[in-house]
Amino acid sequence: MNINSRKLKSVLPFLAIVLVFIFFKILQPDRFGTANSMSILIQQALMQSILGCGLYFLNEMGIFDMTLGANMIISAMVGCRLSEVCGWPGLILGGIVTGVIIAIIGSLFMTRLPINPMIISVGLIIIYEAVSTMMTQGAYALQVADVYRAFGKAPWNIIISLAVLILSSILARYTKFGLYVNAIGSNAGIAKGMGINVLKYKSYAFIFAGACAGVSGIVNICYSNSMGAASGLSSASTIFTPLMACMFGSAYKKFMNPILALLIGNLFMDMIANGLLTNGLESSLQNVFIGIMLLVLVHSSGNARKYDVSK
Amino acid sequence: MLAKFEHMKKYFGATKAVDDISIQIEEGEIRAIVGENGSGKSTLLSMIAGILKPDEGHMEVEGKNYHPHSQSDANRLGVSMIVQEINTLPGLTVAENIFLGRESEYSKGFFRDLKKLNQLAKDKLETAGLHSINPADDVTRYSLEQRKMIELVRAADIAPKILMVDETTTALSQTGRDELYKLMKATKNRGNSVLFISHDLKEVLQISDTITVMRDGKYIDTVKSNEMTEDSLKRLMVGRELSGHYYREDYDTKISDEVVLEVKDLNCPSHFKNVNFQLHRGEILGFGGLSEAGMHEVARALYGTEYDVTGQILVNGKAVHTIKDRLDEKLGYISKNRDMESLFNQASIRDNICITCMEKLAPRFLVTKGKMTQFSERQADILHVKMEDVNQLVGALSGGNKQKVALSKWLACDTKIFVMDSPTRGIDVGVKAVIYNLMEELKKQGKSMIIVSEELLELIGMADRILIFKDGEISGEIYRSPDLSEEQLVQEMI
Repeated sequence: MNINSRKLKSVLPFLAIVLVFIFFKILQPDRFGTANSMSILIQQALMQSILGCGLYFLNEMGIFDMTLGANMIISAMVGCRLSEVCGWPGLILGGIVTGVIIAIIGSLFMTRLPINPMIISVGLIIIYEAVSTMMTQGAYALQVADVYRAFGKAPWNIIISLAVLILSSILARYTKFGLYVNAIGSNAGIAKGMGINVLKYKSYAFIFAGACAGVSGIVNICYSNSMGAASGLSSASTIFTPLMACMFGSAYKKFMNPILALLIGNLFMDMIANGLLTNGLESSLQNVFIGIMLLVLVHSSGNARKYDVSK
Repeated sequence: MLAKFEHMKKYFGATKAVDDISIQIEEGEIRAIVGENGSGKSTLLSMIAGILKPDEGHMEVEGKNYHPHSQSDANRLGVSMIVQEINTLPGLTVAENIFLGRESEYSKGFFRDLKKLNQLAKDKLETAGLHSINPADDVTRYSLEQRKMIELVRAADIAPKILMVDETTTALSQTGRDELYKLMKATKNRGNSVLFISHDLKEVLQISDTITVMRDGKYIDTVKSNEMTEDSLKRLMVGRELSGHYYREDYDTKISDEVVLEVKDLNCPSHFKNVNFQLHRGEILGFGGLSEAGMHEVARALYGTEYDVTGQILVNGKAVHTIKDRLDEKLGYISKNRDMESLFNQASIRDNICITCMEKLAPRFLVTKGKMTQFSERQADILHVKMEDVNQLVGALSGGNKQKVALSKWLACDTKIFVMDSPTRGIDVGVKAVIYNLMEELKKQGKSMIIVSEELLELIGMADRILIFKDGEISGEIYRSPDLSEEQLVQEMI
């Protein structure tokens, strides 16, 4: 692939965002793309990216952890409960520490037991969702005090999300951790042979993902004022959008920082969903359209692979 | 004495891969380790390199106990190994591959200094003459040979006390081999030692000072290279007399006029252009040329795994477009990249052999495990695959036995046209003889073969006709003759 093609691919996600914006702006000049709606969209994309960052490192190592959604819910609830006792520190530390503890439990099960991680995920989600129901003590949801809602609103939600994104970008590109995550995902056997402690780095990725789930839980409960209990594996669906953004990040990592691509992926999907909504398209059709657009963009990034020839 | 490895043992289930081997290595010595496929050479070196943990045995390097926990640990203790298969990690850059496990050499505290990493890697690549490789590129952008050269750069950078080279030369062109020999000699000149596995006995005799012979996991002898000939070495390896003429000896066999494969104006941007030829029934057609000349890609295109190809491929007079079309016309392909493209390493020998024959084995959709086992056992027996049983994972077999499974897979489904890319790459004389005999037998049965090979003697010895590739085009056509020499082929190729 020549340099021009590489440059083109690196600007393609940005171009896609601009084109989507122009397209819906032409269709709905008054309803789509107003300063207010764009501000909300960007905030949503940023907040979703927090969970996406956690998922990214696991996903890169070939670990599909569906428990992260349930983790986020329980972390938010524990933070909420502790905030009633300890205030801000309870909310923040309670949320993050809970996220990490739950992730470590998942890590122990998924990396040490000879059971398919998907089965472990489902088993753990059922347990975590039951815990979330118990934590609401019969209520539909747990509500956080109004004083803490600032965390879910601009500028704090933006600052927190950006902090997680920047930290993840640095981890992915400029640290041994990011390098080893790629190496393990590429071929864990060779990585092990090179002296990389595969189990250790997988555990680190789980811990980071847990911390992200904790932060995401805090921001989300503060944004919407409450966190509802989950049941029937519904918590797993909360990770689908960030997971798609992760795949977007992985697909474009050859051309840009994957965390930036992940953010763009989230924004792209949110913009399309919003654009379709303003045009009166029902939600199921919105999802079809978003799925197709994602496939098109990820495919365009992968075209280079077909020129890889084994000689 | 630089190192000693005593009573080394490694078992895989009931298989004694290495059975009580003891060797000593002197300073400044190049020691070749030879033996048939499955004799335990690679297992022995893998234990020394920290890739495998010995079941029993004692190792010392420079008088100190040596028991590495990983390859990286072995590197730190001054032992490095270049393995037969590709050992670079896709998704990482060239520079990251060179310095993997040694991040402290370019990091500032917690952070990796990518500029420094790329500069360091660039210097090392340029020292090795690899000016065309960009250290910041993903390693998958480069060919297998270039990736092997990147591994050489990594190994050289460690300046090991013991450098181990496991059947690497077959993946390299002459330039690559020269670089490898340079690295081996530099290691020797520093007073360090080289352990070297190769099936190319000529190369073994030229490069090594001493040769250790292994057979069925056991130590046979250690001899001086200058006291041996190829034939005496073969005798030691195999334990019996081997005919020196394992190539075909016929020169006047009439080739059928029936065309089974015809290629018209085949083009693939940046790989090959204007490729036209015909393959006849019962013919062995050789593709010769330098590694980058386009012949490997043409072979892939014949089977339908090369992209962006234009032109026409007719099998038995029918135009084929998909791999399914080729399979329907009984065309099979054996890739040079055995582990990545020919075999399912994590599947059993049974599944690998049966996968091409499911229509035959399960005409009414259902098939029993017993039927598959019986079928695969019969097929494995034909080529004498060395294995515990057909339930064994293919990944656990030696290179030669893997190749036998790859061939069995196509033989089992009654393939009539074989496209074999480097069919004897990394394979010992015993298995080579089996494969050459098989080719002759297939030829007698009227089956046609295309052999892509960088081994000129193989082409001269086996092919009825050789097409020479140069810069992606067919530049010459040479017919089988007792007078044909390597020099003539080389002249056409360069």
